[in-house]
Amino acid sequence: MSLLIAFASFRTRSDAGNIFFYKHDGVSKGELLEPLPTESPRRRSDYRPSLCADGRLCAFAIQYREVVPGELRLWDMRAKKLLTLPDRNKSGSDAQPAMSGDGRWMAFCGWQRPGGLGAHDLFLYDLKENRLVDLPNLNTEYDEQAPALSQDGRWLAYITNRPLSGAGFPGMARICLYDRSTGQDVPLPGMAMPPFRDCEPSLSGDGRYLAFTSHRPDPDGSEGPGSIYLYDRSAAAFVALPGLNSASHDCQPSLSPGGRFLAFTSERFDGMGQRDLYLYDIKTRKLLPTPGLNHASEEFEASIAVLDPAMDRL
Amino acid sequence: MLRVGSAVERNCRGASRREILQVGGASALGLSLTDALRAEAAPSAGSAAADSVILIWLAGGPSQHETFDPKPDQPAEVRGPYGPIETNVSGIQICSLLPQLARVADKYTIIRSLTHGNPNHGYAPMLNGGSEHQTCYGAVVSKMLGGRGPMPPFIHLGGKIPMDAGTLGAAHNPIEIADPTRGEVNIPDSRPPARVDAGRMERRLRLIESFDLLRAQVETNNVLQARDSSYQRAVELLTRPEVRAAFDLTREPQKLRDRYGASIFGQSCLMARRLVEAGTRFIQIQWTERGGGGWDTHGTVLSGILEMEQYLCPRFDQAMATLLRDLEEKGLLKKTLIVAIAEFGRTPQINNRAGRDHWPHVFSAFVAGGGTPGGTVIGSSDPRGAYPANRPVGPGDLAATLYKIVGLNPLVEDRLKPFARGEIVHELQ
Repeated sequence: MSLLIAFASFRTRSDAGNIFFYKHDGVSKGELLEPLPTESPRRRSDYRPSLCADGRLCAFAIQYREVVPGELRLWDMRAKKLLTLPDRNKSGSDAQPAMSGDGRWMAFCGWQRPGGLGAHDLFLYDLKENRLVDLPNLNTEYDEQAPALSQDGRWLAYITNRPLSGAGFPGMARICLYDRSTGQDVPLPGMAMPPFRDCEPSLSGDGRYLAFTSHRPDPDGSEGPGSIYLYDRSAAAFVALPGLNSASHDCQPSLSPGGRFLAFTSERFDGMGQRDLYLYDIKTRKLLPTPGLNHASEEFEASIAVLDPAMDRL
Repeated sequence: MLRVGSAVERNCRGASRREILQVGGASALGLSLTDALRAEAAPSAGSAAADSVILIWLAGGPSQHETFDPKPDQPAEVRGPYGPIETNVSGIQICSLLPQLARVADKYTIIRSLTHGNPNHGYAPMLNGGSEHQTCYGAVVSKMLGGRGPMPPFIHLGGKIPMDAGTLGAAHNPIEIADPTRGEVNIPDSRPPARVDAGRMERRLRLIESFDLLRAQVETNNVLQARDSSYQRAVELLTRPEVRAAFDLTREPQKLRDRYGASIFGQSCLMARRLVEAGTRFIQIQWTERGGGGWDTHGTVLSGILEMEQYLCPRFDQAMATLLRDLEEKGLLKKTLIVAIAEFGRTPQINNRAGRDHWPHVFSAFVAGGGTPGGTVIGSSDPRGAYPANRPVGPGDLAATLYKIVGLNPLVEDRLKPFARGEIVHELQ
């Protein structure tokens, strides 16, 4: 098996998510693995898994039914145990964890977290040093959310509603790319299409490819729900994804570290439930069969790791 | 009462599965059937702007801030993370999570000043117009106007709503289809349960095949025949060719089915359009899902209001915009009133889970078709979206207006007064 996919599903508890794992050969075969154990099955919802590149670690978010803010967890896949995350958010919620490919960094979104500038802000844990590190110039009085990291954590894609002019009322969500080496956002020429909303970024390991969901009109001019786009930073152009998008809502893309595979969520008709997961091979431009992956309930928020990096070259 | 299918109701009080095909008491069903058949010749209400109503119940209570009443100039803990979007009507902004509805804003009216005082989940006062009777709109319309053509006058789509005809009698309860995308069938009172064998169920089995199965069961099951002849008559009604066809979504082009979305809600909206076309007087759709927390976005299932972004608003946006366009293209929009409401809205202040809690003091409703003006906003909330700033509209006002639009005047008809004790919202006429 070449790929490991972590995802959230309501298949065991209709009102609370669990994290599941699925191995795939990168061609047509796959198998469902044991789900991630939950501490208190009836009270806690687990969701938004994020794997590091080789699948050693899986970060995820949890939410209790009680009036308790959301928290983050980090699961060691080999030792099958939770690892300690320091510095819990004592005033708000943490969510949307995103692992770097090398497993050293975990970005996340904090709601009203001390040290933030607005309501939703981005933070970065150094898991080697067990401490938060600064992200100079990134957070603003507006909302920054949905982080995605490259292999070494240098590149951080995120969404913000800060207005293009830099001041005034918040606007439509758009995607930015932050370079930790300079502490600045870098231009993404030709990518944004105001006033249409872009969200849910995912980066390849080298930060060259950026997949995201957009509500812009499709290339044929049709105005449907969300569709998935792939932007190549080196060419400053979009990569065609023939056969990937449907007339239904396609969203939550997750690029494999090498950028060849793309898992995503869709509400299309041929699915098992309302939301199902699909796996697309960007190299062969085909949707791959994923036997046993989906269920009559809902599957969403996939994250891909690669067990055989040779398979993952574009 | 006849129910087909099963679905899960869900909010912060928990989830419950509602089964599936139920047949009410013999007399009740008999009356319902008789009424439906008698109604074939019933004239439509004389002064009605609308022949049919599609009432959409957004179970759980959507946030007004993240739908039709954005507050971009407020602090982050009030405005939320989603900015506004311009609509195709100058001066009207809605939340950017509804981009398709933004492009058809000329076809609907937003009421931004709905208000009442009940912060608890339930169907009163919003589904009974604040009346002391536990009677929903559809039952009142069924009782007062009967049906149009051979179709049952009142059909419910989605998870069960435990508010029905109440004092009007079971004859005016709806026929209930729990999930238009599936064909799961159960007859709870039969022994053994007449459940479809799971091995025979294909994915997304057509609902219409369930009707065929019902008919076959009636024809072959002597126990059922002896037990309840009204059951047979109900099945007879549902399997009449013209009625059966109205429920058959497979007759629609795949492209159109795609445009509505594959969700239960999307396909319920498509079925509602087919039922309107066939002459159903009142269709009630309950927002229904197979997982998640619905519109009750406290932040207890996913973080905060993330559910709004992930699936609630996309499903609503896609299905509603398509419904408006589809009805208009078929020339049905002017005679079909569409109302989308819920039990309440959400708190102006985002909580520590980045969610919003129950808030009945001001919230929004969506109204379209049936001669109502499009591209209009009625009332406004205060700067935080906490209380009406002007033109407060109560549940009774909405009820009086709905009944007036279908040709029932609560100001002059005594029999209607117990169900509509508000004032007509004249801007909607």
